[in-house]
Formats: sequence, C-alpha cells, structure tokens
Amino acid sequence: MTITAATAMTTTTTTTATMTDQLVEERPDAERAERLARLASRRGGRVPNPAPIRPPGTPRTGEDAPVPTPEGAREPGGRSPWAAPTAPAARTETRPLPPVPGGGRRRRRPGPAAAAKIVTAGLSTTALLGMMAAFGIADRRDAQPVDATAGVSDPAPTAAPVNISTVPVTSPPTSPAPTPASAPSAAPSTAPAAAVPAGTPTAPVPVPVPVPVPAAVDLAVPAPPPPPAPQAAPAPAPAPQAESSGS
Amino acid sequence: MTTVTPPRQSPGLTSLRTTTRAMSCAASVVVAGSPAELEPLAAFALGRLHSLEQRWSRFLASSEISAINAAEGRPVRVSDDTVELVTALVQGWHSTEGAFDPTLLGALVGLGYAASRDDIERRTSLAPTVAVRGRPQDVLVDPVHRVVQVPPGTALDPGGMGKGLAADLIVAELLAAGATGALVEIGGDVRVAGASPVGAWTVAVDTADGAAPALVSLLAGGVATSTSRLRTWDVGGERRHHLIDPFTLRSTANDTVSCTVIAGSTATAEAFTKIAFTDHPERAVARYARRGLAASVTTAGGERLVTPAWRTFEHPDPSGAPT
Repeated sequence: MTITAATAMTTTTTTTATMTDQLVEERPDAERAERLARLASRRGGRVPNPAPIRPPGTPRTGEDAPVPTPEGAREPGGRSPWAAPTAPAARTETRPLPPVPGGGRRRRRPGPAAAAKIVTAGLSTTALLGMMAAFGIADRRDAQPVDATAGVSDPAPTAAPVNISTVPVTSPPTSPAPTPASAPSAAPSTAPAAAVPAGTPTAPVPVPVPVPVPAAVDLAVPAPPPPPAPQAAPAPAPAPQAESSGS
Repeated sequence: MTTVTPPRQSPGLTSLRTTTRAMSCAASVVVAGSPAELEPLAAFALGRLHSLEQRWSRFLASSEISAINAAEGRPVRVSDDTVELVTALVQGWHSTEGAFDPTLLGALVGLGYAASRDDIERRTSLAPTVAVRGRPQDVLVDPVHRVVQVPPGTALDPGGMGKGLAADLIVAELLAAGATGALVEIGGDVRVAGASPVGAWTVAVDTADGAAPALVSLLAGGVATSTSRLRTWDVGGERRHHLIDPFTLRSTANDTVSCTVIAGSTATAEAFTKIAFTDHPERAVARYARRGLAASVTTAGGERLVTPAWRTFEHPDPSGAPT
C-alpha cells in the first residue's frame, strides 16, 4: 500500500513533466527557441530539435522533386531549391563528471528543477517523507541512485561549463554550399580533378550557381556573294572543304 | 562515310588537312597558316580532340561526365572544359525552350543506346537513381572553382553538343596558337573561322533527301546537322533512333528526317537542330526564322523547308534549279 503510494507519486511526477514538454512543443515558434534552450540546459546542452517546425505533409528541403510525366508541366525557366542543407544540429561540449572515489556509482541527486516539479505535483518532499515515515518506509535516497530522469529532464552538471557551438538558423539557401568531391583525371596533360581532403584550411568554399540564361543566339557570318559571272559561263560551284551529314 | 575534297592552295597560304576518328565518328581538321606551323598545329588539334573525348565521353567510366552522373547530387570538381560543356548544355536547353534537353540520358539508355558505336565494350553505366529525364534548370556550376553539381537523379548526355563544342574550342585554340584559319569537323558538326585557303569556307550539307548536297559558304560560324536516319537500332521490331523527344521520352516521330542549322557556334547550331524534331517542320522553320537563324529542314516526304537567312549562305544550284 505504501509502495503503491510512492509509485503513484512518481507517476504523477512523470505525467507533469511530460505535459510540460508537450506544452513546449505546442507553443508558438517565436518562443520555441527560448524554451528549447531551457530544455537543453536540463538535458545537458542537447537541443532536441533545432530545425524549424514544418507543417505535416510539407516536403523536406533537399528532396528531389519527382520527375514530371511527359504530359506534365515543363519548367524551362523554373527552379526548385533542391538539396538545401538543413542546419546542422547544435554541437555541445560537456565535461564529464569526475569519477567517484572508491569506484562507486555516482548518485544523481534531483536538482532544483526536479524538486520544483515534485512540488508542482501537489506534495512537498517534506510531506512525502513524513508519509513514508508514518508507514515505516526509510528514506533510501542516500543508499540508492535516484532516477532523477523519470519523466524529468537530466540535471545539468552544475560544476561543468557548457560550451555550445551553434549555427545561425537561416532560410535555406537557394544554392547549396557543396563540399568538393573528387573527380577522375581524364587527360594527363592537364591538371587532374582531385578531392579536397577534409580539414583543408583556407581554401575558399565553392558555391555553384545556376547556369546563366543566354541573352541572344549567336549567328554565323555568311560569305559575301561571289561576283556575277559572265552570262556565257556560269560560275562553278566551289569545292566543299567539309560535309555536314548529320549525326 | 563522307569524302571531303582537299582545299585548293592559294598563293602564299598553305593548309594541312588531317583526319582521325574520335567521339565515335570521323573527324577532320584543316589548318591554314605558315608551312612550318601546320603540322604542330594539326597535332595539337588532334590531341585536344582526344583529350576532350576522355573528359566528355559517357561511355568512359573515367570521364568527368561519368563522374558527374555518378555523383548523385554531390558536387564534382572538373576541368574548365567540362564547366564550359555543362554551361553550354544548360544554355542550349534554355535557348531552345526545352527542345534540346541534355538530361535524357536515362531515357536514351533505357531505349537501348548504351554502348559505344566504335567499341561495344564501352558502355554507359548509370546509377539506379537516374531518372529518364533530369532537371537541367537545377544544374549548378562554379566556373571559378571548377565545380559542377547536378541534382540527384539527373544525368547529363553530352551527345551531339559535345562534338560541336569540341569543334568550337579547337578552332578557337588553333587561331590563338597562330593558325590563320581553321576548320574542324566532327561527325558532321563543322566549325570554321579565320581565313580559308580558298577565300571562304564551303561546307556541303547532306539534306537526307537523296538529292545532291547543298553548298553553304561562310566566313565564320558553325554548321550542325541532325538526322534520324543514322544512329538507329531495332528493339522488338520497333525502329528507334538516338534523337529523344523530351516530351514523350521516346525516339522522335514527327515528319522531320534531317535538320541543318548554321549559327555563330557549332554548339548552338547543334542544340537548335532539335527543335525541328520536336515540332511541326513548318513551325520549326518559323521559330528558326524568328531567331534569325539559317536552317534547312527536310521532311520524310522529301520536302525541304529553309529560312530566309539560309539563302544568304547557300550557293545557288549551278544547274539553275531552285533550291
């Protein structure tokens, strides 16, 4: 019976924390980044989802659009922002906790946030301990590791500074910034196409752009007409120097 | 096979004609200039022709075009030549409003044109993700860093434009190297520039109607001919050819059997020949005329349609019969 009460308390705490996370997800986008940062601080600096929320059914940027059917629309001038890279996940660097003297398992104490959640559930820690004592249940927090993550985000190590390297979230570029890739050398007499090794410094990043549309068609220059030949002797046809017979 | 009459020598000006086989077809180079430079220039031209084939052939797994097609959307660092080729391919697509589509390699291979005509062991190998038609509008190039990036599922087919652009590049390089005039012919695509040994460059155009070839003369420019009667094959009793309709993704089936276009460059001329195979011949000729292009279209019935500009290039029939 007592155990049931303790379990019920844990369950209530879990539900409250879950509801809180759901409320974070449902809030407007303008506040989402701030709440994600708060959530990240509870989860050791990991941002759960840095990508902007997209409505269901919206195609992901970067996916190749399906090839139109022969009878379908032709897009000689249209472009699609394909292959736009998504913003990379924020990188975080956390310092591991020092080992426990004697090789024991480090006990994770619920931080202030966890305690606040317990309080939020409607029953203070003091009152809980009182109930447990009344039923003869020892306070075993010091003997066993407390699963502070049951429905509660992991507490951040208070002693370790968190170094978060983030990439500014911008709208997907119309031209992706590619990483150079290797290409075979096709002619020994010219510089071969080569892969740029990872980590090569200082080289400017290539940014391919769409091919410019030609402004006008280039025209050939006809040869001047031959001088008029005497009527008695028509001008002979010139001997061709080549033949365009199709390919 | 075509026989070409060697140019007559003009006083004070010599020329040299060299033939070879490249890009699965016959090729010839005529170089005019000082006698001491002719052979080195001709050798240079042939060397460039073969190096461009190594870079652009879809039948060579080691080519840069094959690398681009295998990259599945990743950027590929290539040579300046290939940047220029990819740029020309996409610009040809723009200029012809999609009639010339360089991304139909998947359809072409699927229809049965996978092996080289010169060496059946050389075959086009495409990733399973390549679509029958790609997205030329989404091809990206970086000329400064020499990077090309095509969208996933898109594969480029240099095709005839590769021959035309090769002729353009080699002629320009020959003149820059000291030739006073140059003609390069690759599989029926002809580019001329500079002083001809005989006053003007004259090209015989096979109109595929069984009649005598038409003669055109030009000081500079490119002549390209496409025909549905050369590169053909049969599959299950169905005759197919290499000109693919970008709308049906099958071999073209309109009334045009041959089209010749004369333009400022052979690459441009090559792209514009495709209009005649994707539209009604008369409408195609009207479209050429609006652009000021010289074009000649031959139909399956033997009718020949030409633009007004064509007549400024064509020599009248010596017999006096209207052309």
